[in-house]
Amino acid sequence: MLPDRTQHSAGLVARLLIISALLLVISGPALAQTVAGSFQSVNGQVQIQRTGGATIGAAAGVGVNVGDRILTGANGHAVIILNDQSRLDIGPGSSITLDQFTISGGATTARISLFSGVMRSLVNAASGGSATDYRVHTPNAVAAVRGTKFDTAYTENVIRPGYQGCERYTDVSVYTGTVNLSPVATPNAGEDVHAGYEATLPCDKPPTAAGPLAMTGAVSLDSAAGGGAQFTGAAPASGGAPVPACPVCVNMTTVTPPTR
Amino acid sequence: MATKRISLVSRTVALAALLSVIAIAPAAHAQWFDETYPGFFSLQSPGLLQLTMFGGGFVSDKYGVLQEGAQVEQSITPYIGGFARATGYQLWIGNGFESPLAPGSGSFPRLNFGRFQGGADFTLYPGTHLYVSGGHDVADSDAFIIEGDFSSWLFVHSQHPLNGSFSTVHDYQNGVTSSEIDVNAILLSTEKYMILGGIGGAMYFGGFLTEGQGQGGPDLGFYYRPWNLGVSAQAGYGNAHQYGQLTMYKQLSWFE
Repeated sequence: MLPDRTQHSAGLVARLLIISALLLVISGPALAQTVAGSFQSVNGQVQIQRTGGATIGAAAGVGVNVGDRILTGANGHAVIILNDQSRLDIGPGSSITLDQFTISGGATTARISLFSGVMRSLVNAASGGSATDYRVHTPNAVAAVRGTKFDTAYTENVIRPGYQGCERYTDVSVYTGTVNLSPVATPNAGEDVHAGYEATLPCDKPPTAAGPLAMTGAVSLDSAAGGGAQFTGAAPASGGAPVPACPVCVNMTTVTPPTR
Repeated sequence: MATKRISLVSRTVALAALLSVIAIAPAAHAQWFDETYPGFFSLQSPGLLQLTMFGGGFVSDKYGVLQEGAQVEQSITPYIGGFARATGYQLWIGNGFESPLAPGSGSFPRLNFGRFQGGADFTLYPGTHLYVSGGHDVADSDAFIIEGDFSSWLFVHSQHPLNGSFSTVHDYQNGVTSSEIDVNAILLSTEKYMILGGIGGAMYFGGFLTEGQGQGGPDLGFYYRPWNLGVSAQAGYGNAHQYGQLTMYKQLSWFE
């Protein structure tokens, strides 16, 4: 009797295991396809690589799932609205993956990987961004924010003067709020970048001190799209305008009356 | 004998060291050049076309000037660009003073002329530019002019970057060289705008001027990012007594 009961229990456990395995297999893709938001607008070539491997063209209204990779072409540009009303503005030549997106008790946790190009994040625009844990990872840096509008750009195989041969850079340009920019390897060695400023993290080194927007050579969504060149115009002569004072100099000589 | 051998060894070592330095120096120099001026000999890609429109005025007890114009600049390499500039001037002269455009021709209450220039913009380092140009005036002025503008931003990775600029124009008709020097710092930077402050002035030498003249005073600047629009004001005192000047400029740029 006892052996029969044991056999029966063993069979029940085996069946439960098989059912559990089947449920996992069935629910796996469903879990991976958690909808995180949708495209608000798409211009130029923009593609979505789904978790399963399928690649589809993006269009306004198409959903974005956790795990999706978004690729923009050289003239591509896309805007994604996440479910917490955060906005991702993806610039040309960019590649991002939405690694994590959860909303729990009103607080959002988001992890986005930026492999190349530039992306502007307007975090939790509707609610003001309180209690939001939002991070953008690049191959060499992490930009962590709370309630802010900022650009993250990752560039490689480019030499910039003054960086001693480094060829990989993460640039962060902050418009509102504060972003902490830190190397991937040492997340506690970050630099706070405040609104109106930008900073660069070269290779695996600590980030530079922040400088005013459009002054340091950092790549931003505006500069990548050609809408804004570097600011050089504080001095009129250097900004393109000529010397504003007397063009030929003042002549203090009084008129000499004609002699007879 | 031993001394000779030591001397030979030391000479050999010195020669080897010298050869090493000669062999390594060009490589090190080439590396420095590549890191400081990457892509120096390549065309800029994508190219950048910039248009700057500007206008402004200068008023003093002795004379007043209005100016307005535009400059177009086309990048060639990442470090060299070509530009062309057209400027219109309206010059008002106080009663009893000679025309500064053609000394000896008498007094004129108002003179109008245009200036057409072309030249090159050299980026010596990121944020450091040297503009060299030449041109000619038309209408009430008939002068050849040559101009050099230098501007450098320092401490760009800081809260308050500093700009030093020096601009000089030589007029071959009246022989006067006019120079302006400014030092400005970014006082505040936000998402939308920047506020700048500093000091500046102008100096005039040569030609009909028996001695150098000039003026100077504090600068205040404002730059509105969404419109790429800048306004700069200066007021002070000098040979023309009290003066004030205002300059506005708007920059547009396109990648090609």
